[in-house]
Amino acid sequence: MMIEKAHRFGDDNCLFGIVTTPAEPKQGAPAVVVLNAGLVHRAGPFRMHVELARRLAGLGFLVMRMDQSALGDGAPRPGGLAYEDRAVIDARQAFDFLAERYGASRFHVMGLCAGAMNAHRVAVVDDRVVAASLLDGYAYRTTGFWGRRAVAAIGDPKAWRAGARKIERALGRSVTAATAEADSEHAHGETPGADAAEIFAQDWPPQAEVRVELDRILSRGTRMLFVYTGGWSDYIHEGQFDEMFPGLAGRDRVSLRFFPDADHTYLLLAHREAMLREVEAFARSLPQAE
Amino acid sequence: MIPLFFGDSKSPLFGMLHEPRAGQELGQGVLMCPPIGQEHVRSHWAFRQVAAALARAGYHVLRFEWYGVGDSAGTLDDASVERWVDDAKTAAQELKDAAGVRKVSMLGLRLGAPLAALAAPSVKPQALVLWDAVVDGGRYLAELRRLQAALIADERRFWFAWPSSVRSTVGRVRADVAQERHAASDELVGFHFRAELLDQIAAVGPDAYRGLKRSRVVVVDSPEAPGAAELVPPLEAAGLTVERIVTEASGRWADPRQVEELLLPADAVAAITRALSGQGST
Repeated sequence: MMIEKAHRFGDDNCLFGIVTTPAEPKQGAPAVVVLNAGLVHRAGPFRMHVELARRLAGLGFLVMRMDQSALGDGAPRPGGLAYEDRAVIDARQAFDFLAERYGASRFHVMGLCAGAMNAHRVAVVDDRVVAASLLDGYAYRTTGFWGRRAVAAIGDPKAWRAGARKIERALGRSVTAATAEADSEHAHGETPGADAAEIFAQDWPPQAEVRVELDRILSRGTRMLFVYTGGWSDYIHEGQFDEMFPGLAGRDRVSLRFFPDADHTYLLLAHREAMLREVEAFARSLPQAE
Repeated sequence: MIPLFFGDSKSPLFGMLHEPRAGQELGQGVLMCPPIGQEHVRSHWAFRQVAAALARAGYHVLRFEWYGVGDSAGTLDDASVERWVDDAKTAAQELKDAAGVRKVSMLGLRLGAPLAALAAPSVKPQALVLWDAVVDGGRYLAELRRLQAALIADERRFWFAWPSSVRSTVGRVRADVAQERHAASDELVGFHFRAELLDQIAAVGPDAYRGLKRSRVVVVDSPEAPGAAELVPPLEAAGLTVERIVTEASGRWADPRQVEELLLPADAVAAITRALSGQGST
């Protein structure tokens, strides 16, 4: 029988996770760690992470869906670290915990949106990561992106109206200052993460830097699954991945899937099912430890 | 906070117990009953804030999750209103056993409110706080259906490189490459609902609150979602003294732009803590 256990762990027990133990463990399989999607607690948007954890456990994988520090049931981590640095420490302490308590030594880290960026970051620095699934992770607007978008806009009256409004705003008034002020009010006090604004205001690293990091991750033998949706406004065509990171999609350790119809958080069950099957297929394809 | 799995070991419920500091215990518990579906995901953070505040005020607090919701076992496919009412009774007993308290109050948010009320005759809460309560299950489902329709039609959510006019033309010729946004008829805001469960939720009405005769009742709602205020007249007509609190915390539950925004509890934390302590209401 599949069993779930709740654990507090990490520095001062600031982290929280639910571990799903498979009824029939797959020998030599990496343990899966699912990171927070933005500010959403460990259950994930539309409870997606619970479904994902139980389905992967059904395939024999040990899975932890976790709350990072200051998110969900995680406690703030002292020390004034930046969100990105904290996220890496949080994930690595999850690995440490699963190693100590469950004997895991290899990890498949995954996440959606901010969770994908964090999965990338920890994969760069931790050799124990043998696989990473990034759902709507880093996307850079390429020449092809702008070209396709322009073609789309030409045929869309809505885009004309939006463009006209933009021009009107640019000529007339500035609303950004007021918006920034309102946002900063929400960044404190009762807002999860205590630094929610920081999560959404992350500066993405330069494209070339991410490329170097991806090469480093892959050269280590780590497998990577990149899943993008049409709901991720920075990514609009399957070919965009090759424009961002030339030659990467063809490598045998890289899997790429684009779901143009799906929204960013998989509201519709058919879209979510397609994504879950993709992740399951990727997990099943991972080599077992000797 | 102490995480717990409890109830039937084959389909355990998940809960988080918040304990007061030693020496500050009031010897009373509060059982927090959440919404279901995406409303549960949205309210997790607010529930944690309210639970922490109540624990600081001296209460033993258990925020638990229904079968098929959050980290509890199962999915909505196997859930039923009857099962959820039993879950509330099981959770109340767990709170009493784990915290060593005999007196328990209940707090229910959205559908959690009528479910808590339905369990009240058995749990016998001292007080019941009904927060943005669902009063009419049929209307609640109609609201979810309108939300679902608005979400599917949302061009920002389902952005795609082709304009909608091109998409629909291509869809007629090459359906396989046009954007698909079809939802099953029993799919609401990210979750599958069986027909039987929809019928059971639709049958939830003001009658659900009839069993509250021996409890203090506090209705909490917001200016933007004052629907629960309609609960007050029938409860008063039934002879209950009802306190009403209007908070600034608004889930804007029917707004498609808010469907993935977390409910921020704002002044509800202090208002609910005061209300359970028997201080302050309007």
